Amino acid sequence: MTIHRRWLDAALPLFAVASAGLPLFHRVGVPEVMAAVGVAAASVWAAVRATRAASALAADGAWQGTDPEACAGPRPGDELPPLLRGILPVWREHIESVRSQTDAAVGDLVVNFSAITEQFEAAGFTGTSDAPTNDQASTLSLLTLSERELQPVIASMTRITDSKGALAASVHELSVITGELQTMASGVADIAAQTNMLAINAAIQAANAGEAGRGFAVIAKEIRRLSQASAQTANHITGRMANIMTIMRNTSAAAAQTAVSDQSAIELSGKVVEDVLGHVRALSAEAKTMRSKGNVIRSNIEALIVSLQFQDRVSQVISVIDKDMARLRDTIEGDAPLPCADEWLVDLQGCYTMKEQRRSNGSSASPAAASAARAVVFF
Amino acid sequence: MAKTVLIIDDSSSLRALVKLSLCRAGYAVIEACDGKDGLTQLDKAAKVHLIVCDVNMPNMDGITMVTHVKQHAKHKFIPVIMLTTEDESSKIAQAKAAGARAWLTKPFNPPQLLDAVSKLVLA
Repeated sequence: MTIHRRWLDAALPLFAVASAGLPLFHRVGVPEVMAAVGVAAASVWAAVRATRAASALAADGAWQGTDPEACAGPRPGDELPPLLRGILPVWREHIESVRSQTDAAVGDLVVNFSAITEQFEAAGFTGTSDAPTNDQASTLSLLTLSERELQPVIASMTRITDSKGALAASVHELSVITGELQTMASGVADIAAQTNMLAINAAIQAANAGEAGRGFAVIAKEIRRLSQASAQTANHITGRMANIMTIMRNTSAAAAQTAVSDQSAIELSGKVVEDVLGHVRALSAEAKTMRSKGNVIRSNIEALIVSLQFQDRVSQVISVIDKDMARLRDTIEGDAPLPCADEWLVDLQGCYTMKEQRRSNGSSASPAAASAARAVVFF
Repeated sequence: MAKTVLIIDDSSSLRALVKLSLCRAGYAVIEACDGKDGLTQLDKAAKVHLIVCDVNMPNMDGITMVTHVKQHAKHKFIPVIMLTTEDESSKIAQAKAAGARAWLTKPFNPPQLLDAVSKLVLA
């Protein structure tokens, strides 16, 4: 009896301590469940101890107010093994249920968080470092290229407009020269008219000269014919020059109008290109910001995924408790006397795999160091 | 062609985490839930370049599994990394004696694991 009580006085609070210590690993539902199991274990044992104390008092004759027989129920030493035999398998089932559910849930969390990370990467929000990925570099290159290529387009359009202006000026100059040519053609026509008049006078004088003037009359006739031909040619040139002048004026007017339209179009194009480049620059800045923020989110998610390894450590603790409960059940069912608490705890310590477990058994050291990753040992 | 890594751990969430890290680094992954299953998967696989193995597992623990692997003519040259919550120096010595090439204590950082994996796969 004393061994039973001393042993359970030590063992059951240990379950409670181990369970209550689990939240120190991390903040998920399992520790609370385990803590509840531990508290339940402690509560059961407290009730058993109260019954045992009453029985002990009655047996020692110190219980004066009531007939000891009236208080006497089954002796705790008789009822405790059946009680534990009934309870321990249920506790073990609960513990296994918690362990398996947590394992599955944390596995899902790992997969889902990893999917989130991959989606972030697929969306181009993150990179493995501050340097952009190939896709991001392509995007940035495209933005830079757009800016670099659009500026010369504007300059080229401006040059074309300037060339058109020069062309219009040349057309105008040609128009002036054509006007001068028309004037000169009119002058030729006047000279032809005067030459014709001179030829007529020469013919009259040749006729007055008689036989001696016959040769001169032939020359005067030819000069008159030539002057008439010159006059016709001059008139023809004047007419053609008038046509050319009309065409030149129309061309010059059209060129002037085109120059105005082109200038207006270029100004509009320049403004549009500047707007586009402004958006491109803003987009580039936003892309950089998004990538930076994406890297922070990715880093946080990766840290979270690493933190989810707490489940494996919790599982180790639960497994040890589960095995120890099985050992307790087997021990109770066996014929051998129960070992003392110290002996039991030594055996329990032999099942520990982590420093936190060893610290929590008889030590007040904090298990917080569990979260730190340690270096690889190569053999 | 991707190198194949066999992950042996009784925790499915831990397997998922290791698998995630390795797959993202371009490795092909085979999973096993304990040492015994690990040996079965090893025999079934065409080629395994490295094993990442827990220590404390049901049915067959990691150190026993490594011992079996190192006694096997076909598999004895496969490098093994022990990935475990166990931190007892005696266990580390046992793993080394059994033929493991590295010991990494959980919780681990994925880059740390990948570094160890790449070193041993290329060795």
